[in-house]
Amino acid sequence: MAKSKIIVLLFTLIITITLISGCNSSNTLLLLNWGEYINDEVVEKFEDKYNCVVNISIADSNELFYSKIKSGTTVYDLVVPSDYMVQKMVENNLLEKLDFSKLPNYSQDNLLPGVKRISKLMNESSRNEIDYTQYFVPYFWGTWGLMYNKNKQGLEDSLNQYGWQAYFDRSLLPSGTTVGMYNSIMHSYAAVMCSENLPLNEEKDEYISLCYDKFKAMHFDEWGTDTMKKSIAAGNLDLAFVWTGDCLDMLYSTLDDGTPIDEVSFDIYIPEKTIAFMDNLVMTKNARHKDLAYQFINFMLETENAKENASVVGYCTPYVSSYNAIVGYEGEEQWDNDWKYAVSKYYPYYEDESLYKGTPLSFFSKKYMTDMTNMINNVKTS
Amino acid sequence: MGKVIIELQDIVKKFDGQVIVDHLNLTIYENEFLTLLGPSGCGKTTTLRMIAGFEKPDEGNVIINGKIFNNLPAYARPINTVFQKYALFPHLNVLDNVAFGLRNRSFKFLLSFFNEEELKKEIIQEKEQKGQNNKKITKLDLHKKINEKIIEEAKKSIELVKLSGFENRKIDQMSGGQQQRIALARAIVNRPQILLLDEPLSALDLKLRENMQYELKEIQRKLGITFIFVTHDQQEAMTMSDRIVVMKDGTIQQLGTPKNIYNEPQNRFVATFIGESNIIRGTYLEKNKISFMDAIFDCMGYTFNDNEPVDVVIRPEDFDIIPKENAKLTGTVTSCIFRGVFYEICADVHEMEFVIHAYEEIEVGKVIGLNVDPYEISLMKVNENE
Amino acid sequence: MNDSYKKLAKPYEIWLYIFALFPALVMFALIFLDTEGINLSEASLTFGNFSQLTESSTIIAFVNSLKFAFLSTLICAILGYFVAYRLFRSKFKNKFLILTILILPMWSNILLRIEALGNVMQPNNIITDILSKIGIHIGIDIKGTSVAVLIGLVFTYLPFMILPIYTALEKIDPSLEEASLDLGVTHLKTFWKVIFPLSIKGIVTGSIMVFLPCLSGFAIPEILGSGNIVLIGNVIDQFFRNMNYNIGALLALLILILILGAIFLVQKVDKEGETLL
Repeated sequence: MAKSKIIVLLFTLIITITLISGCNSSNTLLLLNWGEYINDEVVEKFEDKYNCVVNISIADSNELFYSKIKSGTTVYDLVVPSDYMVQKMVENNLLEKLDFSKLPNYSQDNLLPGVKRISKLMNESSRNEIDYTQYFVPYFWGTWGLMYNKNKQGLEDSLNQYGWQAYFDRSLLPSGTTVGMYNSIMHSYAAVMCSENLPLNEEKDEYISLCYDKFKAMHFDEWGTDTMKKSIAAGNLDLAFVWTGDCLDMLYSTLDDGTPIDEVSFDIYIPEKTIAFMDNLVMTKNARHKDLAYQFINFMLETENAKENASVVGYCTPYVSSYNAIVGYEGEEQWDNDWKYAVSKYYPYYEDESLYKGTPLSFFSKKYMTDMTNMINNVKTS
Repeated sequence: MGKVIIELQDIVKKFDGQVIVDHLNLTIYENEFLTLLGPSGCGKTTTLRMIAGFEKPDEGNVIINGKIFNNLPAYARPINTVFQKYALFPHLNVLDNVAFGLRNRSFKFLLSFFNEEELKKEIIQEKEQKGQNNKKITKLDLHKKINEKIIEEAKKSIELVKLSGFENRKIDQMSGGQQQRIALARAIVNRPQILLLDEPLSALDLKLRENMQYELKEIQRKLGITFIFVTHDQQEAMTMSDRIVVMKDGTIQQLGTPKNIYNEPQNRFVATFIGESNIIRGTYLEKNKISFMDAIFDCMGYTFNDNEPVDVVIRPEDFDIIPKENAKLTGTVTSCIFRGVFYEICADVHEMEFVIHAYEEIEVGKVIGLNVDPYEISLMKVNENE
Repeated sequence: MNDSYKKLAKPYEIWLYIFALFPALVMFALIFLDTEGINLSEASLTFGNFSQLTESSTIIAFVNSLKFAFLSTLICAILGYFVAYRLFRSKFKNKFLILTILILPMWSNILLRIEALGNVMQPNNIITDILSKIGIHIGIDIKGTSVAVLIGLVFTYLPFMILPIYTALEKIDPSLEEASLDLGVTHLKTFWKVIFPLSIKGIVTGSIMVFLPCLSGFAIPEILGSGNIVLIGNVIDQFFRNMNYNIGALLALLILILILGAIFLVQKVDKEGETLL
């Protein structure tokens, strides 16, 4: 009997210690983020400066963000949803309207024209006349494009000549081109819509049939996610519709390996009409550490911090000051020069908003999503 | 004695460098019930397995029916085995177990086994009975007939071992004794010339074992097969065997009929292994006169040299207890235990412990006189190694 | 069984109720509802989810799953029996060690293994790189095909087949083989009439352990099929990812019923319960 008493006691002790160490709630910030989407050193700087702990949880989809916030099992303070998910969260009353007076580092003028454009598009596509900009602070943004293998003869020319038409028509591509599509229902649907210059946020059955026909005709060699960027770099795949950031990721690692910049075997073609996305910092309505949250957002808006943050993520910083710091680099450091080259080339600066490419996605109804899922499965299984 | 069926010539078998069977020579005759008797590790089972074909002799020849069988695999020999743990097939019922051997033989074999001409005659008879005009016999007909015959034979075998009616039972529903009999039926249905039995009764209780001993002897007589039986139980050997081969350390200690071995053990080992013995060193004075323990006794039937030292063997039941005044041997009783049939009396005679079997109880401490008849004194040559 | 042992099992029983039975009941409820994610507060009753069962893609995916599962099981059974039998007959001193080596790949992360396999199935990979440096230019390009998925499934689940078959073979009383030989049956026939029938339980166990994950898995077809091969597991995954738990639960429960049916069948055939050991 004595033995089991000791075991129970030990057990309770362990549980208690674990629970206690997880506490210390007063000075903890709970952040729900994508994987590899923040610079841990910047986070440490924040923790030291404000004497707190930042608890980062990871999820890998907007839908999962939504699910977690809605369920409220863990009350996160800050989340980083994409454009369409911000819309959905606002419409479902999950987000706190931001008090911009608490964010001295925030300024509309410090946002790149492209970012402002995306915000405008979000508001335009709103079905309920909501001004979403009151709820978020841009965090990273980027576009989608057609990444391609430069070593495939004639591919670059086809893309430059035909753009989207080449991606959906094998007769316009050099023979034997292997083509991949991103294995996401929303993004593959949007690709078709973009190529046909159709709106991205309307639900029509004929749009789904159109997608079916185009996918069927094309018969993609691969439906993948981040495997495709690696395949293209290795020469196992010729063309794919991916995040621009994917191409930059591969570029950075290829340059790191010592390949000179003119020997890089791949590039990305960004069509006129494409997907643009923006990931944003938002605060939940039930956040328990709102003050700390504001301090965090403010901290991340600082030019140097934003630049440091952008150095580990392949997407574009939304702030003018940080952007200028990156592309205005004058120095000998190889890495910084490569970074400057990449950002200027793939995220060019236009004073005129309308010159920026890309439209953000919208969220669809459950029925439409189901129809889209079935359509894509029908393509793959027939 | 009959025809020689097996001859083991100078067989040697080693395992891991240790000699298990040491230059064994043995002749076995047709239709005899031969037992290999000995303690554990004496090589009897190994010898049996070499006859069966599960082991190959390192040296020497196994000659069966005049042919050297050393390299012939077990399935090609006209020999069947009853295993110690029965080795019945758990996934088959009783009938299928018994019929297993025949069912899995080649068509050609079965035709000769059941005598092709006989089969054909029966088939034609049946066809006539059914009124079929077609007198042609197809392979299918033969196959069918053979299958019928196999089942018939299996049932006969099962009947022989007194298990009729159990054909469809599962093996695990049968008792130990019943499984034993199934194993026997399974072996004999193949009409082997030689049947090997490897301590088949060791797992049975006493009464059952004794019953089976008689049954086995009966079956052997009925079938006329050569039985080679392995056991460490000398009672069993004595009951069933025509001849016994007493083995120790891979060699034959003595070969003979049960009576012969019992009454005339040739060495100390046999004397103590079979039954109980009292062994005393003595001197063979002259013809029919043996001296031991300061007394001279008459004996008969031996030829030793005068004054040759010999070992005297007297069985406990051969002693007669007589009044000490008339006796050549006297001793003090140290214990007297009732053994059911007799009293086992230990007596101290000339500082040696004698074991005596008597029908009367003797008080411990009493001094008794012992007498033994001349023909009950066995003499053995003295072996320096013992 | 000892009473005190029964008490020890109580916590696990409760665990099963909370984490296995209760979620299954929730899933069952979800089938008949239309909800936002898992949130049951705004649920409305509907039978609309069942229309998913008549979708051609669902049916084809299901049939594909069955095809792959059967084929993988068959190939694993044949290869697995061969390996198990060879090991069983071998004269190695430490068969257990060999067995461990065969199982060793299972100790590493399955996704890593499949990714690596997929990589080798493409024309440009680390192996072709090394080989080209010494002048050998070969490469296979089978990633994205059914063959690739089949190879991946067999490669991953073969150890699950080898182990039970080997165990079943080792359990066979060696004297049975001797008895069969003694009765005049040759080695080949002895194998088919004695050894094979007694090892069938191992084949059945192994088959279940291969069939079920092949039927319901989605990672291997997705990676090695380059997204072009859709099995029922992939469909369920898609619906769950898009927060449509209702349809996802329906399809998942369908698979669950199939699995339970298979196990039930096995119980019927093997009353002593030896097979699933």
